Amino acid sequence: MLIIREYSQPHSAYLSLLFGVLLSIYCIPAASQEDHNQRWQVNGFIAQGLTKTDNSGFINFDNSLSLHLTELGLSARYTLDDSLSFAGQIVYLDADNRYVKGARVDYAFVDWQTNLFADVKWSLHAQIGRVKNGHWLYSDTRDVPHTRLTTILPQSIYFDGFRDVALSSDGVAWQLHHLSDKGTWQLKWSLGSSPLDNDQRDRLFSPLATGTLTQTFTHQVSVFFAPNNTNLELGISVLDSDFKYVPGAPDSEPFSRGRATSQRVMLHVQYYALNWEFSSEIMRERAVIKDALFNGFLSDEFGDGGYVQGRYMIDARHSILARIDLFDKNEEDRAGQRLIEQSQGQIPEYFTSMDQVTLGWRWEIADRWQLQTEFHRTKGAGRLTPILFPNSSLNPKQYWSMASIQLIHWF
Amino acid sequence: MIPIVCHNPYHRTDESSFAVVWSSYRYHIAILFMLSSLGIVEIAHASNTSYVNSTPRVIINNGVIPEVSEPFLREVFSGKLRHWPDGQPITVIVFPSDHPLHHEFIQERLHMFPYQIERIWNKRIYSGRAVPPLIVSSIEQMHHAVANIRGAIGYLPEGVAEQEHRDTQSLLQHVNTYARQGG
Repeated sequence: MLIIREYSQPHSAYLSLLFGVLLSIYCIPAASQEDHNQRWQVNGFIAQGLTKTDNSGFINFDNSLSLHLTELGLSARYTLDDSLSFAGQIVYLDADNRYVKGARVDYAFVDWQTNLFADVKWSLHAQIGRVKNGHWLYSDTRDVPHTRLTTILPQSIYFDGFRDVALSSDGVAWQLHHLSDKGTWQLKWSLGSSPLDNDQRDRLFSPLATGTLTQTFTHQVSVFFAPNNTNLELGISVLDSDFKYVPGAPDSEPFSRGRATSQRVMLHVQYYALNWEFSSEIMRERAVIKDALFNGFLSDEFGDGGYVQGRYMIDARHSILARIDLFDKNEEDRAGQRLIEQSQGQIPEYFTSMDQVTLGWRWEIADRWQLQTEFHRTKGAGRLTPILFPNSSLNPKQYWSMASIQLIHWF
Repeated sequence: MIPIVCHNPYHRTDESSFAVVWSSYRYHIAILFMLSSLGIVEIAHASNTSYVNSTPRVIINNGVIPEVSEPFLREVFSGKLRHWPDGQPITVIVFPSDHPLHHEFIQERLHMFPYQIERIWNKRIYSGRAVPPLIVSSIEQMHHAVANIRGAIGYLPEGVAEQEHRDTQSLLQHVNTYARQGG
């Protein structure tokens, strides 16, 4: 039985709801047992690994070998009729300091798909409930180990500190597909918000905070185009999201009421060839913080970053990967001098950026079994939590390394 | 308060000449790498088109058949398109991912790659947006499954497909994708 510790507030309610809905669906009388079975689809995955860092609190505080690289997932899908389905997935994640340990409802939504104009060239797909962020190349399955190329995704785009905010949201989403003479178009739209608990508040804001951090909304739009007769896909996406902070008890609360805005524009490219593949995403993001630290505080910064990666398939079972990932938190302070001045020397300059080179190897041991290993050499600590109050004692060096190995099985 | 180690703010002790160059030109290097990769893409695309000679044929069990173009088949066999024009759900039937005919079909008919198709399916299945394709292990099973599931779509080797088409003309629609392209 999974123990839900940190996610006692919003996620346990969702877990109860998800199980209730699944149980209700299971009890719906079907025309026959065979029909009943055909309507159900169950899948899952299990992954366990090891991670080791030096000079960084990214995984743990003492840089010891960590066994906490566990990812479990169980998904179910029930087809109600030709167009309507219900789908849900629960995951249990443990990655030490990278994000909060525990069980989560990854997604739980009603799924509807139909052709438009009685024409297969136009189709619409919509979800309502806890819906996935399907706007980035790896965002909708970033916790599903065998769908990503590395255990740890490029942090410029897939910042682990924002994992729970960026993965899914409670709201609505739709995708419009069009097959044109030139290629296939996809227009995606989503609107919702993600529940944040106290652990996430501590990571995103500060461990000293005692109030409530909530995401007011997250609004995303993306367009993807795949030209005919190619295996190339190009995309652009935009994100707009607001947060608000309400302080806790006045005698123990060092912060004040405040708001934050996160906006992002991204470009995506992916190409598949016979023996190799290439993908890249670059972004520019704006982070605005008003009040919160103290009344009258205002911070408005533009950051940028992105990665390029390639994978070469040596044979049917082995492949190698190389990636460069770059990130600058503030375009006007790439060297970090302003950060030093503002913190009165308390925060080193390397907390303003984070560049990473990754080398990886994948071995597909057997059908649905995979071993993945990788090495990361990193310069900077700009993508480590807590975001507003970086902890330089846990990240004492500008250069640090990380290695991991993970065994994955899915069904 | 969190303990913070104080650093000399303006003294970067580990700044090598490489680090200086990297710091100054890292975005240029990344963009150059990206553009180079795209250049290689075009070369590789031209050289990767030496597909096998056999031509698996698509078989369909549905009353209404749209223009079966390559983009249409790519969408269907990637799990993205799930309904025929009459609203009937599409059931995709394939051979296992390591089956030679599967490889031939994916590369010859869809001009995609098996690992690419598998990745797309996995992403859709594990994000709750698709039901996995039905997998059969023999030509007999493929024929039987497509013939007995309304809305099914699969593929057979060229000669077998023609024979099956003659035998079950009233039920199975046999489609040569290239013949139907452009009407």
